[in-house]
Amino acid sequence: MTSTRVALTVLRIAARIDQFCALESLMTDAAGNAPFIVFDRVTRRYGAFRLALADFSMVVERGEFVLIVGPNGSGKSTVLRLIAALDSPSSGRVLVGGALVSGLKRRALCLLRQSMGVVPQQALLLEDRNTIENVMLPALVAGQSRKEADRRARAALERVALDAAKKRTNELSGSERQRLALARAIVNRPALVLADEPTAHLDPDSTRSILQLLEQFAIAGVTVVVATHRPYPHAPSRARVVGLRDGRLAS
Amino acid sequence: MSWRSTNAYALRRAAILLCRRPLLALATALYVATSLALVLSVALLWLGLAPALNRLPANPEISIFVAHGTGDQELKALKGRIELTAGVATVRTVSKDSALADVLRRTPPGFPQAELKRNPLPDVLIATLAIDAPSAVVEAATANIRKMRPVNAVYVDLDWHRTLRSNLSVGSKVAVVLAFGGLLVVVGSMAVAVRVHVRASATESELLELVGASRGFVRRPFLFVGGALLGVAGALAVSGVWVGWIWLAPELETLEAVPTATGGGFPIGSEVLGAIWVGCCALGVLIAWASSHRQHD
Repeated sequence: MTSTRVALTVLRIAARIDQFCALESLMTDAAGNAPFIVFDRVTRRYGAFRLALADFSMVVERGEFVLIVGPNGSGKSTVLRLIAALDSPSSGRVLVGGALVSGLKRRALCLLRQSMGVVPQQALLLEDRNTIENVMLPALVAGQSRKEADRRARAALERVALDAAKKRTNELSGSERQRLALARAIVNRPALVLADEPTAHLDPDSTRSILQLLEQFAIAGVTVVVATHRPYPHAPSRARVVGLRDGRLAS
Repeated sequence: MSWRSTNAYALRRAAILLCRRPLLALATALYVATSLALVLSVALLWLGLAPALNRLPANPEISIFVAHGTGDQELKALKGRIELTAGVATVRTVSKDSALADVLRRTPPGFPQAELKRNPLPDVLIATLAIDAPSAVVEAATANIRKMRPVNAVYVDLDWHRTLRSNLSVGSKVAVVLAFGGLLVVVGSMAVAVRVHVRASATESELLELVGASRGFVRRPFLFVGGALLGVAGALAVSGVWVGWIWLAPELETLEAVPTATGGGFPIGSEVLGAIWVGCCALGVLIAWASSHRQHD
């Protein structure tokens, strides 16, 4: 009986170490051969009638730039939420960096989210803080000192060409707000960037510059997954388009 | 993030949250303090009036008129038997001589006292029962005493006792309901006050979750906010009631009908006041935890 318990404990510890190793590889194993994101026959149902994803399968390689295109309610945001482990599938499997997302414990989930950058649909900027403080937040959460977080935030702002270090967020234009959200997403040097409608309310010029930025991330080896309801007329050449309609892959 | 830096961040955020809307923070603290102070005032009033209420002759009493010609030995024996009767707490004797002296003292001047050549009054024993003795017990005791010798007559005002008991019963039930309602109002106002601040930071909580903050990291600033907010409210309530008591103390002391439990001093000890304050802080933390828990999930 005691030996069984010891064996189970060892297995649990091994599984935990395995999870952390898998997550560690998210940030470090840029040359890995395994698919980076795998959706294996994923269905997500909300209640009895709303079907957000139906038997959806997709593979995203490391450093790939994927555009998920579909009308409102087609399940694009659900895909991103499942990758970020903000939601879990009703059936099927979602693997990120080789780790089964739905099987991750709370601490591992935090590490997973720290290793990716998310640009939410509403930008989620904190109005009571200036731009630098907004960008610093993920770095602080990831355990960086204030000094290091500040340095990284300035570098990220420079990367997205946003020269508004001490501005209040409510003083920013729509394009600047999206750039700020992008800077915040890359401040932890993530292996993966998820962007949900990052150009929804932007004019064509701003849209093009945001897409160029995202493409630059992909060129630098970051996997980028963007959800958008309208196909971009000038989509980056290296982008792979995945169509979604009613929660299923569209041609 | 280390324990120290997590707490430093949470403390800074809590201070910012409270200072971001200082009027709201002050208003919510005052609101909670007022409702808590009202409940405390009622409790203080109750404690202040309790000694006076305890002195009210509210216990049921049975007057036992002893037959004429009963000797002292017989009277003592009867008193002993009555003391053993179920429900009887104490028995005191009012001798016929003292009763007559009392009557004479109360008679108006000019009354022909010389006409009272022989004391017509009987010796009387007065049996006192516990204040919460049920009517059935009083009735049973009365019936038992009535059968004893040399008892001539027994008098008990059962109707008055029943009325008093029903009033006490209704009063205590109303008091319990009011106390419960008061506590609900206090806790409800505390919950609303803390939740206002937690909900005002919904965006931040959502963002923190998105960037991989642990639940403890997300919730901790709110715990500090809840503790600080209700701590301030509790301190305001306690000090407000204390100042009010000091202000009213001279008037209360002059009212002999309202003697205080501690002779005019504050009837609640400092350890109880401290416990109330700590309880407020703890409740603030608890409510903030529950509020942020619901928001987080």
